[in-house]
Amino acid sequence: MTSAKKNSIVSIDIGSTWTKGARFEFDDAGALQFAGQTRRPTSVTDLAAAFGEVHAALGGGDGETVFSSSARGGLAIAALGLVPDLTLKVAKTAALSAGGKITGVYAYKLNADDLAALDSPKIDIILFCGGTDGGNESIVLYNAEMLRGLRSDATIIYAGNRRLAPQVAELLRDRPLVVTENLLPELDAPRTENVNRAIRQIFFEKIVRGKGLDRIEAACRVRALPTPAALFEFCRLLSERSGQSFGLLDLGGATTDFYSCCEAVDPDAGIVFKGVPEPFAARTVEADLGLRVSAGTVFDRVEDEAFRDYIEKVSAMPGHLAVTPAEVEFDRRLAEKCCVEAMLRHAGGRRTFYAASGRIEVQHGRDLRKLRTIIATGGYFTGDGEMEFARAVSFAAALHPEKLLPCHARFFPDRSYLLIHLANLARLHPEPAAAFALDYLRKIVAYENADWCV
Amino acid sequence: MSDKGKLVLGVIGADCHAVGNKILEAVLRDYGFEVANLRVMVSQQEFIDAALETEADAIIVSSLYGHGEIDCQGLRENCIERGLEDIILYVGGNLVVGKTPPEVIAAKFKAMGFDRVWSPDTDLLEMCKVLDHDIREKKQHRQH
Repeated sequence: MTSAKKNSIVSIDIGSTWTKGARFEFDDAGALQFAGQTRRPTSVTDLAAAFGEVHAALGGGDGETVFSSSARGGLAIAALGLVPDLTLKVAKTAALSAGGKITGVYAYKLNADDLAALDSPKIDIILFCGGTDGGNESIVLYNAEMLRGLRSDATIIYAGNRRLAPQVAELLRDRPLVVTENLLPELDAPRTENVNRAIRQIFFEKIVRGKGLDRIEAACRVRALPTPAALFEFCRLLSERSGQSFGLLDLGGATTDFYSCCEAVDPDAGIVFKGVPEPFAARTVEADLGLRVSAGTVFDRVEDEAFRDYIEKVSAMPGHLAVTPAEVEFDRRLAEKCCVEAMLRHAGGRRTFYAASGRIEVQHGRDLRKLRTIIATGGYFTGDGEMEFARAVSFAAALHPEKLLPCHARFFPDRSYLLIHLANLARLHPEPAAAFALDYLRKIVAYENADWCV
Repeated sequence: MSDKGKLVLGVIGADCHAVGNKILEAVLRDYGFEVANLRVMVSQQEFIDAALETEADAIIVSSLYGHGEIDCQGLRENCIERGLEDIILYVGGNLVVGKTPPEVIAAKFKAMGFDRVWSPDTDLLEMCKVLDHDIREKKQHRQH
């Protein structure tokens, strides 16, 4: 890689509960070597405190530092679009792929209740879309007028009908506002890069600069990213470097995220794809699926009384770690359900129609059948959290034959919780980070020699 | 941007005849219309979603496989329901199976709320002129 490379690098991820750090060193061949990791509880009032401790403990002063943050539960984004399946859908995709957390979605005209919900101090960004270029004006203008009534300091990103951009800028001139190009200039050509960039810039201003992290960041060569955005980029990088399609599951206490990097539509003849075109890389977030805070909403109904009590307990005490074999088994059940359900929602589906001209397959959403590798990260997979992934997926596939599930994927648990750090490193040193990650994942499977993860 | 008007185009229902759709798109664009082509197997909802988002002046529905009558039922009502009260609706193609006189077919589809009904032997350029006229008239009507 570069000749001016320093010989050590520290990555820090600021989470809502823990600030985690890892140190890596370059060997003579330019490859990365793992050199230790540590963590400290995050203090909500001073994000820099735990950061400083972790940084010092890892001897971060003598080399490069990169960091990511999902503190405060991440970047809260409300999405406004016109039609649910068109501009609103693209707005949601853009918000999630920039690493945001969606607090609410709004289609068509806003009403007073919507506005009250949007006027929350918990919302960082309002992503305001609607209308293709030259398309709808009346509803978009109506909503712009409504948004004038906001008192919160959320930044509005306007990414709707280009024709209205000057008018919207004028109407909302007294508020924090960013105007970007239209997310959906034409119905079959979504463009999310500019919105993505705007969201990251706002993340930097609101979360990094506002929380005392800018001093730390001044010493870093690259800007901090939201944790999911770093993982998202890394997933894409692994896919590029390995020439394979990649999936990534991030199982947390409150949410389960699924990322996939693959051609969403198999170029087979005879498939009619419906909806706005799918990007190569996509992320979905399920806020009702999680091992702790969201444990209560994972199952519709739980017959087993002991399991029900356990769910109640961990929802109330998110810090609880499974102790008895029964609790370990309960966690396993929760984890499996979260992962499979998140995948089912991420995956698209196909339905067969028999028409006058014969058999036709219509596809909605993403085709994951050719995913070969799924990495699973999150606290559960650290240590020895198990999952009979292949069995769980084939079971789901049998129950949902219309779904395009990754039935032939190999499953790689992130045993040492290194993925987020490798994702951070990759922003400065993509090749060594990708090489380390691929080798690391291979070793996990070889070491465990267990068929449950294949 | 064109002043000729904006159209949503597609083949309705489970019909996947793609060639006529491509020809229509080419001719309509060539004449100066802005066309959002939803291609084949388009549901009523997709037509309406696209028309809302693009603020289309007209929805141009094709049906080639004979089930057009079933597929088109309720399109006008659904448009009204979703706030597109005065959108222009055109339909054309092989709209029914069998040898039904064109005027009977036209009457049937006009009763369903379509503004104009076109048979398979339509001169597309002629249709473009009529469409242009219809859109202008509607716009003038709206201004008054």
